[in-house]
Amino acid sequence: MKKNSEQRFHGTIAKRRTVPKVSLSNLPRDILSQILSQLPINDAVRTSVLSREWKYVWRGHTNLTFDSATLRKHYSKTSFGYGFINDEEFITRVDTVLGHHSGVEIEHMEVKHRNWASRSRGKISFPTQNTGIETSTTNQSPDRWINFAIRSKTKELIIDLNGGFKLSLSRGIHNIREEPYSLPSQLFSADNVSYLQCLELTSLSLQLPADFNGFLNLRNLTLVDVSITDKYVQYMLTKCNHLEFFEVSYYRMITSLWMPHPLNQLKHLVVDKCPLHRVIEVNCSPTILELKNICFKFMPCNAILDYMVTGFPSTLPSLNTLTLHCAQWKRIILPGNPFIFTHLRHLKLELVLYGKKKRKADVLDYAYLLEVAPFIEKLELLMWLQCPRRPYRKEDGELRIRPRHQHAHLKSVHISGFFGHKDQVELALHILCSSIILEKMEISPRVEIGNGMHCHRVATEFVCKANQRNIINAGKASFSWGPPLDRGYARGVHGTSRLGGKLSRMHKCRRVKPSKTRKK
Amino acid sequence: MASEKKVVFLRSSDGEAFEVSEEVISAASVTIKGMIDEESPSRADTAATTTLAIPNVTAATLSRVLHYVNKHFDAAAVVGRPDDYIFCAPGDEHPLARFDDDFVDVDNDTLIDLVHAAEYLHIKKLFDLTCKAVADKLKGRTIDQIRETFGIVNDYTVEEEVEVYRENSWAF
Repeated sequence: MKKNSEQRFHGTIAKRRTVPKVSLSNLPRDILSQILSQLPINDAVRTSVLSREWKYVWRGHTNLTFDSATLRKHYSKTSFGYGFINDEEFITRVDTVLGHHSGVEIEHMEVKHRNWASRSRGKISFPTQNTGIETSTTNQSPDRWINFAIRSKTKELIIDLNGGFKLSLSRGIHNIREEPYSLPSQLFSADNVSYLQCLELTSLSLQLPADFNGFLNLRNLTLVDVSITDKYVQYMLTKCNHLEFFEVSYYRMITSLWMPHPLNQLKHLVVDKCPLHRVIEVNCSPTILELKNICFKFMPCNAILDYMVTGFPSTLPSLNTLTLHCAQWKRIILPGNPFIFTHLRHLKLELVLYGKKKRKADVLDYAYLLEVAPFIEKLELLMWLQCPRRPYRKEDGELRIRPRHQHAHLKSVHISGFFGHKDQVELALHILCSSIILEKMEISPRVEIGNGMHCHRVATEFVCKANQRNIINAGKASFSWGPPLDRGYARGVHGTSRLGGKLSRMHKCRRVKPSKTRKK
Repeated sequence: MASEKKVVFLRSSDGEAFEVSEEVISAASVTIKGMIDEESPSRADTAATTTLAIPNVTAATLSRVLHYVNKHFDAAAVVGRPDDYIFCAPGDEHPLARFDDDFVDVDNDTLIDLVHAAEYLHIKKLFDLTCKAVADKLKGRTIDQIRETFGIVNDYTVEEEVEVYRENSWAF
């Protein structure tokens, strides 16, 4: 038998020499195009000089990403990043590529570019290709790109006119900036729009055409720093029946988010950094609701606890995971008759109190969460209290004790940003004493929202002391500059978009656990 | 009796037959699933196992493909690891990532045969994997290196070549 198999291999090797072998060039052109689609566009374009056949291969590239990395000439990455490409270069290069491209069936198209020169002049405008004069609004480059994408039946389209840079809250949102680039409404009235499955727009202004038919197959919609009125958002949502993932962030104009039409398949909703945002009304009939994961982030003016127990959409029966980010300066009066979250299993709360003002909000008030969410199993409380207050010492007075509230489901608690302020100690003690079946409680001074400082000592001294069943895990300080984790989480879970994968991998890397010391 | 798995035989271009579970190969290859579906009415009454001819794939390549298929598509071997589940716990590498890396660590001709076979048999995962592997071999190489590695003959005239360079001058 052994000989047999040896013979077989000899046979095939011998045959290889006689039969014309399949070499790279003998593969059909569409396979070669698939191979090149795995390369960044600049590498793919370079293969055009290989031979006559190869001149056309890259034109079937299905994964077009245009940014400062893929439109550069060289590999060398300097200490300044990939180097600067000026507007004109960027636009001509994209136009050259799209001009030669075959335009069939693009999977993914991504444009990330910030038009610096015109931004500094105050108004965003892209020079037109031929004349250099802005004669017609539809001839501006982003329009041409989107037009190309739609004609090519693109499935995932990402247009980021902020160039992939991090948006700044302090400068970007509160001050009036230059006017964002405005997309003409007729772009989205074409029939081919129905091929879109994933649409992500950043830093532009959007209007919808009157004859907008909806994105019939859109699953993933992300609007970051998009100027669009409440009305259009609602209009858009009514027309996208297959939406599974919806995110709005850095949304300067929105005051309320209404979902007038039941979005039966919506699973993830992220609202991040919307300063004017007040109301979220999700209208879904209870029987068909799939929405399981919600992430809301607020700007400093919102009183989160108040919102949670009074203003929260009560029509979300199957809400399972909730992430809230808030800042709260004033102490609020808690309502007597709150809304009870009956399905909530996982609550993540990010609390940011940052500044030189004296803090009036009382962390112990958050003990109330145990009462409004009687079935939660996992509680994450990420705090960043950057204000003048020193860690608790005995001289500061007795620790307050809230009336005991028995919580029968809470198993795991994670508190970060524990600086040992008196009310933090009180809250930790309250949760510890109230939860009957608690299995694990992690207390870490590490600020998982921003940066951190050292207060391990207080955690061990005041909370671990009361710990009789050996369930406390108090971590030591370490720094974490990563962004809040939930966005990656939500996208990662969603999983259809390419981006989701990338983000969740980034998230994975950043989520390094701090070293823990188990105390007895 | 019900536990007995149905098998099919695949005959390579050079006449060698390989046995594979029908369930596994149907899950993996759209092409073969189509062939089996076509065959099945005539097969229902006879006990004989089916032999399918795969004319475009040699024995050496086919055996590699089946090795991959058995690793990736045999439900018994990959219990509880859905592939579309992107969000994994930190440090959790896909269990087959290493297998995949080793699988495509072969010489160029073998790799291209695999691309071809994966395309013909419609095994999308294998096709993506092998395309990626070929692309990695192109990445970061100069034009001359690519020509040499993959035996591509430059058939441009000088004028044509200059023209192509000029057309895409931004990329060079």
